[in-house]
Amino acid sequence: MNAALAIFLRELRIGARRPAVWAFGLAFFLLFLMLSALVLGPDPARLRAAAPAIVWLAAVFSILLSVQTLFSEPIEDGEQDWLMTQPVSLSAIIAARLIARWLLTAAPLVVLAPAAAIAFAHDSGGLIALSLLLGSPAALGYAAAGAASGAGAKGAGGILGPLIAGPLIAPVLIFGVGMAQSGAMFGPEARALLAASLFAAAICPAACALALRAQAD
Amino acid sequence: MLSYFSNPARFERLARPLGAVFGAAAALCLAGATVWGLFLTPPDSEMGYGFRLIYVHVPAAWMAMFVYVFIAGAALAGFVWRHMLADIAARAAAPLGALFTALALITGAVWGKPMWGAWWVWDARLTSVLILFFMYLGLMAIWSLVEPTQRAARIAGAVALLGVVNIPIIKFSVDWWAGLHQPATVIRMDGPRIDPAMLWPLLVMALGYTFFFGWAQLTRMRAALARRRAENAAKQSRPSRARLETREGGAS
Repeated sequence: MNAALAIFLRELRIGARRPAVWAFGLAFFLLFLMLSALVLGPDPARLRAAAPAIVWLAAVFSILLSVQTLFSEPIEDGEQDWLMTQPVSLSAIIAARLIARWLLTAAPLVVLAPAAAIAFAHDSGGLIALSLLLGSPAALGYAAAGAASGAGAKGAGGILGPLIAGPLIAPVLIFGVGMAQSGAMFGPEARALLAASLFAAAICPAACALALRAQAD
Repeated sequence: MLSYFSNPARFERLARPLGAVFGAAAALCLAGATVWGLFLTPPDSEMGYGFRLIYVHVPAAWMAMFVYVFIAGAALAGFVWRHMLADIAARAAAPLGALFTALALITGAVWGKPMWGAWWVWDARLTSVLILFFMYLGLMAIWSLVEPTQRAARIAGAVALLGVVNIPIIKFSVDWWAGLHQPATVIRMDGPRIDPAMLWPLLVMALGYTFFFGWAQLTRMRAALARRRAENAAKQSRPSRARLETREGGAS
């Protein structure tokens, strides 16, 4: 347990020093929002109707992209071999890394979501942020499972992760946008989102470990 | 029994006659059910002759789901016994599953045009089959992008297992989502309330599809084994020339 905690803190420290980890995903999130506004046009009623869907899509794509190098970089520079010699299970190591990565890349999106809602003329930004808070762990987990599967692929490997993770993220998107649109803080959508995140927390580290062990074979 | 048949040579001795049996049974069932379904059943009271598309569409959708479960089973066997044949089976089945899924989607669209008045409706079943199609694409992408084959097999196995535990969740979420958005005008066919005269050809057709899958799967597995053997033979017969070429390449 101590080793997992140490890896968590190390991941947090290293990530905080690297803009590639915490800043670029955030910039992409804002860029996606701006492009969406350009596509939708400046009509506030239309923007308001689309706001939950757009904010959720922006968050999911930002998470999908920023997680892509989570395993391929450690494999390339040898860190993964070192991680696998640690006296804790690979799943625990991955869980520690995923929690750290969630704090660095997904948590800022949750904080920014109310501002994004204001920009889209939506008045319940808090609810959108809450739905992201509940659902983004699942999105990150599946994105990481995809990234672990694509980590060793050559050439177009970068597209493999999102291609695998995309269908699995569908329920998170459905319940996330559903919760933000329903206006209910503790409705069935919120509970389904929480359930999806707990389920992802249970299986995604193991799935990542399975794929990463195959890379090391 | 499993270890008995996991010997590739023994598998091939069995697969060749079994494939022929499956192929003949598939041809018989498919031809019989086609004649039965197209000419011997009465037209539907609501949908008229258009309902006959059920004989192509519904078995394809069943097989689309069955093949994914088959792949997940093969993936599990591949993890437990680390056997080459399980990996080959999983790999051979993925394009077949994608084919059944595509057939279900295309016939669904063709059916939707006269029944719903639109080529595509975001109906719960169509949408979840579309998601399944993308899951097949992901598996096939792994096989084409990851090298060597053994590594691709392990990764595709992990993804197939992750996918199969998520299918119920995806299905549930899509049903829930379509319940919110579905327009009331859409006519829905109730599966179980079907006349026996229409049901029997459907079951024979489904059997024919299953035999077809068995035949195609065994053929593809045998082809994969033959390819592997040819590659190994080529590797063994040409090592000296390959070494010579690299030496010349290094000198120039």
